Amino acid sequence: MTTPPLICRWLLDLGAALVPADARADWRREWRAEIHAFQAARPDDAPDVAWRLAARCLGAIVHAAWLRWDRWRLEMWTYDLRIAVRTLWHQPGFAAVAALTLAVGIGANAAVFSAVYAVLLRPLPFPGADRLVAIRTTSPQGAPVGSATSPSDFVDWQADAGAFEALAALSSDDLAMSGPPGAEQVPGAAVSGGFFAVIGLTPQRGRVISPDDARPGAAPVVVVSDTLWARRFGRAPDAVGRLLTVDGVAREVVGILPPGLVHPPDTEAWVPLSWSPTELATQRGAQYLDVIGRLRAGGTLADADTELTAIAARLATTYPGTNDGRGVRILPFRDALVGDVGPSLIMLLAAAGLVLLIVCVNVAGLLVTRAIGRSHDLSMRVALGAGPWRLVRGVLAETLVLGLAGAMAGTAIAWAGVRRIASLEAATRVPLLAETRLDAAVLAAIAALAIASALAVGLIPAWRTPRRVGLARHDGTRATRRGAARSWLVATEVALALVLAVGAVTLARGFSRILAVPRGFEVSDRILTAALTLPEARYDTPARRADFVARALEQVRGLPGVETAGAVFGLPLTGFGFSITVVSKDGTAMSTSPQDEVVLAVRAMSPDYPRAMGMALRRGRVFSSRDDGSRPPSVLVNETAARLLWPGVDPLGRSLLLGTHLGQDEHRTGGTVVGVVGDTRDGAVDRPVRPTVFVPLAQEPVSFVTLVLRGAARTPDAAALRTAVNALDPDLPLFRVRTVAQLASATLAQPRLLMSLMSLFAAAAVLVAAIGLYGLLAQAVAARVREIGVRRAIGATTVDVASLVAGQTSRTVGAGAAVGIAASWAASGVLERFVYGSAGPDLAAYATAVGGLAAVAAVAAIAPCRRAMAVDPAVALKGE
Amino acid sequence: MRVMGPSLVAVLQAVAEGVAYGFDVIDATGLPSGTVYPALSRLERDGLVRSQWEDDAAAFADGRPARRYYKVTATGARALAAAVAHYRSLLPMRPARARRP
Repeated sequence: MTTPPLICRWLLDLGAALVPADARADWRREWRAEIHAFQAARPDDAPDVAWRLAARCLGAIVHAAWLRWDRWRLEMWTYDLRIAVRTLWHQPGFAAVAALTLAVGIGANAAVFSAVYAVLLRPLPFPGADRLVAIRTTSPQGAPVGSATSPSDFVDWQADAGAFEALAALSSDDLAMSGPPGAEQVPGAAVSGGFFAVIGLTPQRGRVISPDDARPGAAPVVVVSDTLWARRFGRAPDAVGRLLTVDGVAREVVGILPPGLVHPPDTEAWVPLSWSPTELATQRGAQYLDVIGRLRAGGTLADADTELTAIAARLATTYPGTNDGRGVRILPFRDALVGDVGPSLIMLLAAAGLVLLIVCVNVAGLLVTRAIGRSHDLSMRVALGAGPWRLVRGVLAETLVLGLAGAMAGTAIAWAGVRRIASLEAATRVPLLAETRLDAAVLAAIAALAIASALAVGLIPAWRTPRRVGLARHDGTRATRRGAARSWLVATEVALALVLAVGAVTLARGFSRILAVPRGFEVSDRILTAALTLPEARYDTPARRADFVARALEQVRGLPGVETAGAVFGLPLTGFGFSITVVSKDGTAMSTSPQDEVVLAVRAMSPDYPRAMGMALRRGRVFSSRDDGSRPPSVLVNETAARLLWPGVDPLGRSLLLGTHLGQDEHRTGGTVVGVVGDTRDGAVDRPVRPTVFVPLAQEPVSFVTLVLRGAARTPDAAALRTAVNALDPDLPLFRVRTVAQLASATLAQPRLLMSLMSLFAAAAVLVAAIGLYGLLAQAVAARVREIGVRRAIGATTVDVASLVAGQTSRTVGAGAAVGIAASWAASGVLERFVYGSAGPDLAAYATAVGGLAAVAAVAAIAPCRRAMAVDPAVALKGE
Repeated sequence: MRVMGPSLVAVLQAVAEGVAYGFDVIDATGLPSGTVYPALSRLERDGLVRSQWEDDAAAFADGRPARRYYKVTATGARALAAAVAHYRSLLPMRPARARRP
């Protein structure tokens, strides 16, 4: 039998040391046998045999290393993890706190990021959505964005704008569906012929509205959403081709859109929008269309903007009466859809990020403390032969187990959070928020981030552990130094938590200021509102409309528990924006040029409406039942309108005329002022009060009215209201049945969302910081038991001992709070734009936040303090 | 299932074709021993090949130590077929031909 060359023997010896012990003998045996076979097959003197054999034997080292690594991996996954789980199981307090802390950070971040992703980042489900834009008309003052466009302007843009593949116009409005299975009002939109091509929505069945459908005189058609198809047709396969009565007109269902996001969001039915040549010639001033466009491939927003601005300037010259000063603004489609919610979400994301940071710092602190507490145990392991890498692996495995447990609990929190966000009232107000889904990628990324940071911080103690081994167990200097490091970590947590707490309190105070602003009407659950639209087909004359409203009010007034009932066209808090120029005042014509015109919001109401809403009458009288079509027209104005039109003069008995007719065809709206009512805030409270004129509903019987029922003691019964109205007209759907309190609450959805989530994060942050502080103090007391014993032995009182703990608490919290205050102050500018009535940093909010944090810190210090006070000098010193 | 790397496939294929011993696999595949042996160990760990020792007495009679020989398992044969099919699918269907102007 030949012997392997010396070099091979060395290499095999070296490799064998690496191979796991249980596989070593077989490994050596195999390599020896192969080397033997290699040598036997080749004569010794053959050229370069020795070299080739040596090269092969080098592979033995690689093989051995691979076997070791593979085994280590297996051990890491089985043994180390099993030990880690067992160790943590026996320390449920530490494990639960660390894992839950991580879970809060991961869950909050995943939930908020999912919302941000849905609203701001996830590609819109429309093909080529990056080329979609929204085009808006700007007013002469240039300010209000969101102004609509008139059909005539739209048609001119469409003809001349070359930067777009196509433009489309739409007008969102509720549509009344009647016939089986019952009357209802659904969110609808009238769209121009090319709308679906521009937006890129394709039907799941049938076809979409074509340009031919939008020609005047074309057969009436409707396209419905998936939800409407399910609700009204039970997903019948033959729904396409059936008839649907929409606003009293039988329309053929030509197509069904697929489920998912549509435009405008939540719309359920689309009907064609068309204009006659006469309308185009006369309606340049009627701005009610939203315009969207699809840029040509490679075209830019700037080019399109330049082109449309030039067209707008030309139209302003050609039609100075209507278009003077009107410009154009182009927005990316998503910006137009999402509006101003972006900054709020980004701020929430930043807040959630801060929570994650605090969480990581806290977990790092917990792990450091634990490593210190286990130094004795670790020294013992080293003494028994554990290598340094072995110890590091143990700590890493524990961190990984904690991280995984945290990620799992965090997933549950994120899942619940996302469901909550998507179901929030705000979700109906914030476009795309309802589309929030827990994104697996988002969750994985955040969990990975948290676990990676936990692993990174876990490495610090793990890496230091082996080097500390062999030190005296009661090395006071080192314990103090480590305590100092931990103090810094906790102070950092306190600082970050304070930033969040100040933010939350500032937002909450701003929100309470919003609530404190007087609305000018009663915000109460006792007042129920319900809208209805009188279809043109059946209520074609002013007399019929007036008669129906009068009879409906008569009916509902008789309902049990109803104190009074009124009707209005233009309910506050509904985004009602019907405004008309005043053409003459006291018989004198007024300027209608865009610079000088006086524009009033116009509302029509029944005599009892002000009482039902709880509005104040300042002067004169409200309408009475005698203010009907047979009497000379009379109007009420609000205080702002009175001041604007007749400054310093009694407005009673004066008159005004508006540039439109409302419910009557034959005369212009307006009349003699018979009373002045108090101002009301219709929408956001930070907007100025709009000058408003009220006309009697009986004199201006419009077809869209809202019934307002004031309950004597509680909310009037909505079902009874429906029955009463349907007794008069069974095909008339009541919609938007809500109390005034619900309406007011809905307008505050966005600030409330911001405030409540911010408060939640601040609470989580303060809690986590308190846990950190508790851990720090408990550890400090445990490390100083002997010192406290000595102090007690030489005469320190319990108060002296308590002040030791209190001193450490106040130093840590004080340092953190100082940094936190400075950071909040620096960041106050960011917060200001979200806070109503903000004038610089809110000192009271700082005081509240610091006070609250101090209180929580004091609570966290109680248990360690008691423990320190309970130290018995005899026992403490005997323990040595 | 994850796709096996080319060297792993080469080693598995060699074993499947009856090359039983480690050094013979090195000769058959042309891969270095530092690649072949870890590959064999990995294939064995994953159950794609299994190894046995030759009969000691017979080897002794031949005046040599018993060698460890490898055999492909049923799972290994399936995995090999799948891997080969995968790599084959990456080849172009037919050679690209220059288009005439």
